Formats: sequence, structure tokens, C-alpha cells
Amino acid sequence: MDDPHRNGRPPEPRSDEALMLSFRDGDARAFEELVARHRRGLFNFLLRSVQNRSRAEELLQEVFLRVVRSKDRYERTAKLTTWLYTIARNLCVDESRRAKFRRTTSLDTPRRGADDEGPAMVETVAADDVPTDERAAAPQIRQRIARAIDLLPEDQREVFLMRQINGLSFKEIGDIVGAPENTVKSRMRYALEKLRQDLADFNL
Amino acid sequence: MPELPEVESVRRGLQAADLRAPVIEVWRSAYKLRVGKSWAEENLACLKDNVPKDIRRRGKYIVWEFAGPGGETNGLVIHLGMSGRCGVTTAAQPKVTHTHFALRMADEREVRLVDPRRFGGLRAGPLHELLASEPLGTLGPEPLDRGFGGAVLAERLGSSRRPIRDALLDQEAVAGLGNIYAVEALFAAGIFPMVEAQRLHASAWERLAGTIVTVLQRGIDNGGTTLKDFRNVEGEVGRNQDDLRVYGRADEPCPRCGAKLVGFVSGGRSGAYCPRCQPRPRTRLVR
Ligand SMILES: [Zn+2]
Repeated sequence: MDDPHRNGRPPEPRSDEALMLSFRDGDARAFEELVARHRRGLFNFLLRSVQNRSRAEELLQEVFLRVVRSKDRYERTAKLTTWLYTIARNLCVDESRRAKFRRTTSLDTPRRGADDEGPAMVETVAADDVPTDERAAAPQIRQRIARAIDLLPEDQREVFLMRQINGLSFKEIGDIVGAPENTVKSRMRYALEKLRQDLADFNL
Repeated sequence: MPELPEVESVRRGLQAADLRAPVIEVWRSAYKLRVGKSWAEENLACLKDNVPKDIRRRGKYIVWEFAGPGGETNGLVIHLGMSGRCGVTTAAQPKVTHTHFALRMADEREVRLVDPRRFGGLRAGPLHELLASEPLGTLGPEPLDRGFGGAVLAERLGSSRRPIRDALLDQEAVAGLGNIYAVEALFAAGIFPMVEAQRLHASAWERLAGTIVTVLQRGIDNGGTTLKDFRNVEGEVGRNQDDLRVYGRADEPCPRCGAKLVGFVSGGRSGAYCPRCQPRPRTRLVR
């Protein structure tokens, strides 16, 4: 048996893509590892899109279900992160289409399904992946930030979230949303500009 | 409907049965099989006392060679239709329902065709006549033969205004390709399935020829695609249905980029494509 610690070093962590290929070849633990690596990031992304905790959980399951179903066919051409977030984003797009349909049938429903679980969404904006100084800020400020993000146009909002919350590169975000890298960068600029204006009175 | 890889799997199964004993009896049910003028004269009786030789394939047809008692070379063409299954059993086995054809050999083995929907077809006669007449005579080149490539496709389809997916189904352009493998090859080549064939540049034809070979080869390696009826000579289903990248997977994530696959119907046949990996071309020429 090979001792992975023979050289006194822990083994190199395997890349996402390598894990996906092991999973395809029948290694269930590789899948668990992938879930462990990505569930939090994906969940935050989904939650910010659909703004409903239980719906986000369902969609997260749906993302991993699709990964399981597609494992035999996954082609190692894109980064796995890109692949996962593209799947997650498409689920959100479907979700918002359905929500729009509902909205047109009941005009008094508030914007973007923020119906039952608004506070939960504010809580998660304050979660640990937001910079520490913001976490320390008063709940009032967190709520303002959350609302300001929510008010961004959809194309800017998703870029902002994937960049700030999920730490994806502009190249990866471009692949996910299907836009050139430069377009993604300018959406990010507009998003930051708009947030700065909206939050000007906080001196953030 | 079985395409090249499924027919090839059946051919290999029959070949592996190593049938060498002469035909002592030709049995045929009373039911009509495939209709159409090339199938009207089955002429199966000519196979009696013939010795089975090589089993080959042309497009979606099995072409079995026989040595006739007078030294002539005969052939049997088998078309599996929608639901036809070929198997090898002992002559003592009772015939299952929908058995329409049995070729009994001197070693007491039988090759049987079972076909519930009766879209399959049979035709026997002098081999050279079979090869020269419909449907074999007008078939296009074999995609797995040496010499097949982008230039061959371009020559045959390069001026067609039909959508490339539909054009690829033309058996006179390329033999054996059907809807499933055409849809898969277009995905692998990154070509929008509805683009007019004449808009493809030489480089796109070359890429497409390459992916046609790849998807067909993968289909053969997987023992064919079973969506419903297909079984090999052993009665087993294929495994390629799990390996299809886009066919039948509308709304599922693209295995390459994760975008949602889009279903389409053209010429009465459905398919799917990735809007990201196979974008609708904006320039006149598709490279
Ligand atoms: Zn794709």
C-alpha cells in the first residue's frame, strides 16, 4: 500500500475534474467530495437568485441530481465549476420565468418572489462569505446591502454574485452566462457603481 | 429504427455464431414483411442447399453471402426495419410469436427473424444482382470505410439547401447514418442542426466527417443504442443510450458546457442541440 504521507506531505487535493471522472468510473466518495466542495457556494448562489431557502435547497438537490444523471456524458472541456454554475443558473432562469408567469396572473405579488422568507435571505447575505467588516456591521446595514443587490438588474446581479460571493473568475462567469469576458467586466463595473450610489449614505 | 451501429452489432453476433453448415430448409411465415418494390420478390427459396459464407453489412442492411450448389454466389439481404430481431437457436426450439423467417442449417441450428411490427425486409438472389439493385445499389459511401471524409460529404451534400441534420439522413449521401447518430455527430462537431447544408465550409465538413466516425464507432463499441426495441443476436439491449450526449435529452444540461439543451423537430424527426456549443451561425459560411 502506498502511504500518501510518506514524504511527510499531505496528498495533493484532486482537481474537481479528476473527481468527476472518478465518480463517472464508479467512485461514490468522489461525488461526496464534490458535493462537499460546492454545496455551500451553489446554495448561496441559488438562494440569492430565488430568495427562498427551501426552494434553494430543492434547486441545489436538482443541480446535483443533474450531475449524477449526466456523469457518464460529462466532457472534460469546461471547468467543472463553470459547468455546475451554468446548470444552477439555468435552473434559476426557469424559476424566474415561472415566477414572472405567476406575477402576471396576480399583479399584487411583490417583486421577485421575496414573499415568505425575506429575512432568511438577509441572514444569508450576512453569512461568512461576506467580508468581515460587513459581517460586523449592524443588521440594518446588512439589510440595506441585501436590498441594494436585489435591486440590481438581473444581468449585473448575477455577475456581481458569482464574482463576490462565489469568487469565480471573469472568464468563468463569461462561460456561464454566455457573454464575452469584457461584457461581464463592464456589468460588474455597472453593478459596483450602482451599489456605491445606493449605499452612498453609509460611507461603505 | 436500427442504424449502422445496431446493424453492425447484429452482424457481429451472427458472424460469431460461425454458421458453416449448409442450409437444409427455408421457412417463411404467411405474413407479408416490408412493402415496396425492392422487397416484393423475396426469392428466399434460392438459399436451399447453399453454404453460408461471410456476413457483411452495407449501410443499415446485413448482406450475407452464400455459396450456391452450382458454384454461384448468392446473397441474403436483411433489413431489420423498426423492431426486427435476429437470433440463432436450435431447430428444436419452438418458434416464438412473430417469427417470420427461419433458415435451418444441417447442424440443426436455425437463424430466425422475429419482427412484431413487420417493417423488416428480406431478399435473396445472385449477390451481384442484389448489390447492383435497390436498395443497396444506390447507397452512398460507408462512413467507416477508408476514404470517407469531409470532401466526400461536401461533394454529396455541399449544394443542398436542406437543414444539415435532414441532409445527413439521405442514405445516398452517406450509408447507415440515421437520426440519432446524425444529431450526436452535429453536437460533437459544434454545428447548428438546422443550418442549410450548403453553408458549411470545408473545415466544418471535415470536422463533421470526423465526428460521424467517432459517434458511430462509439455506438458499435457500446453494442448499439436501445431506445425501445433493439436487441442484439443474444437478445441483449445495447448500452449506447446511456452515452448519448444530446439525443433525447432536451432540457437537460449540456455535457460540455452545462447550458440547457434545446429540443427541435424537423422533417418529422426530433432531436436536440446545445444553443451554446452549436449556436445558430451569424455568418453565411459555417467554419
Ligand atoms: Zn454546450
